[in-house]
Amino acid sequence: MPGNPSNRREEVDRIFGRVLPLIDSALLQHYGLSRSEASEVEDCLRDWFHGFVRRPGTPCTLAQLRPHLLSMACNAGHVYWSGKIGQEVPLDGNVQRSLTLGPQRIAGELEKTQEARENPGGHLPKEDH
Amino acid sequence: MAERVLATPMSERLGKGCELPLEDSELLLSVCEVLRSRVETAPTAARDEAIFFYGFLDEPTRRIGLFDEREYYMGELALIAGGSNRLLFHREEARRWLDRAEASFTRSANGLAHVARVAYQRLALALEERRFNEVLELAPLWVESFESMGLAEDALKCRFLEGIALGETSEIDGAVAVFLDICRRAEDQRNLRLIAQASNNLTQFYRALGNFDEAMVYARKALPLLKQLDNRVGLVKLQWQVGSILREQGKLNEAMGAYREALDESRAVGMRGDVAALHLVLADVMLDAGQDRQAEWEVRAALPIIDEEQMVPEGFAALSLLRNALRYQQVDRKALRELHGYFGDSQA
Repeated sequence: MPGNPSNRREEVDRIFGRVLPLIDSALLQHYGLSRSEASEVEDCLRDWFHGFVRRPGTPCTLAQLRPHLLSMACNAGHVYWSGKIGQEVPLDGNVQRSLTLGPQRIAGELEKTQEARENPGGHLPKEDH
Repeated sequence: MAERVLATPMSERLGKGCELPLEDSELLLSVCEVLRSRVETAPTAARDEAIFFYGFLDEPTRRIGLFDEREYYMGELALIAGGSNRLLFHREEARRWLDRAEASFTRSANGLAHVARVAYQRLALALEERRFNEVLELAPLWVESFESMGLAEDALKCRFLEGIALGETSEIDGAVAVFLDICRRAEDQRNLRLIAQASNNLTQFYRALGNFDEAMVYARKALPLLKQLDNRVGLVKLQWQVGSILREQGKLNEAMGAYREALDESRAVGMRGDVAALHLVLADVMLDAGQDRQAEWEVRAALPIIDEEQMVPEGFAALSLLRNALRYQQVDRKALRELHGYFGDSQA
């Protein structure tokens, strides 16, 4: 990550923007959030991600950061439903599956799907800094 | 804002809730950054501040930031407290804080990397407790783990421990090879901190090989970098090494001057283990210089610290011999050397 704070902010936003379609799909399809609820969670995730990249031990490439971002997005989706238990049971099969398998598993599946999409021949993906 | 909060006495912070947003995530992130940078320059203050903020987050349970942020900050603050306690020779406290750090990090994002950072501190503790076989076995495994996570600097830090353990097990050539490699890699990464520390260690190991010229080359390389980085812990160790080189060259007065500087610096930083060891080393040189009376006073200055901090339990016999000899206003040379040997020579 660039040392200059404003450059770093731009770089973090750029990386977040690259992962956003996947996050969107996770929240809408796998966790059944409404459009407005998903947008709210995405704003929180963006703020969180700005702090996350400043932590020591955080990797700095898109390929290494994406799993953490997806994992946190799925956690957020999971927690959304945990807060509703007993009040509203999700009827959607996708959501039921996500809640049964847990956020880490769903994030892993999304990551694998994305890797396969970027790398259809099975070659190592090009590192994006 | 972090600097402002840290400049406010701890006892006044909670009462100034409106002016000092202690629950603000951005503030906590900055506080952690500042405290991390102070661990090696002011470990006592870094530890006390980390414990203050940890307590603030822990009791009562507060809602902090987004998602995993509370767990992360608690882990980070506990890790700072653990690392500072380790440098301050408070090993049991260090262990307890590292356990707390691990417990919090396992509930935060990127937990594997943070648990590995805790493991590094535990390995450093093992080194200080002279469990060298453990370090030599585990350090290469953690190097691999850090490298697989893309954490090159942390991987190099583990190699440091491996290099020191090699040196301590008389594999000096192996230690020199490790540190020359670390220096090269750190230069590639433009990591001044690691270049300074690796140069500091090369000073130590070239000295052990009797190659004083090369030792001084690396001492001269390390000195301005350590000053630039305000790495006072590193400066203590370097001045200690320079004292030992001068002593081995027969320059006793200059050696005493260098040891005295290291002693003053270690006292200022609050490194009581080093203060005690340096008093003993100074006593040893003073005996060489025929200053028996001053040597006795140096030993007398070291003993209460060793008692208070319950250091070197394995050196109990030597400690007793030394204390008995002091009753007759004498210094038992063999016991003295045995005792300061238990502290290990200065390690980076």
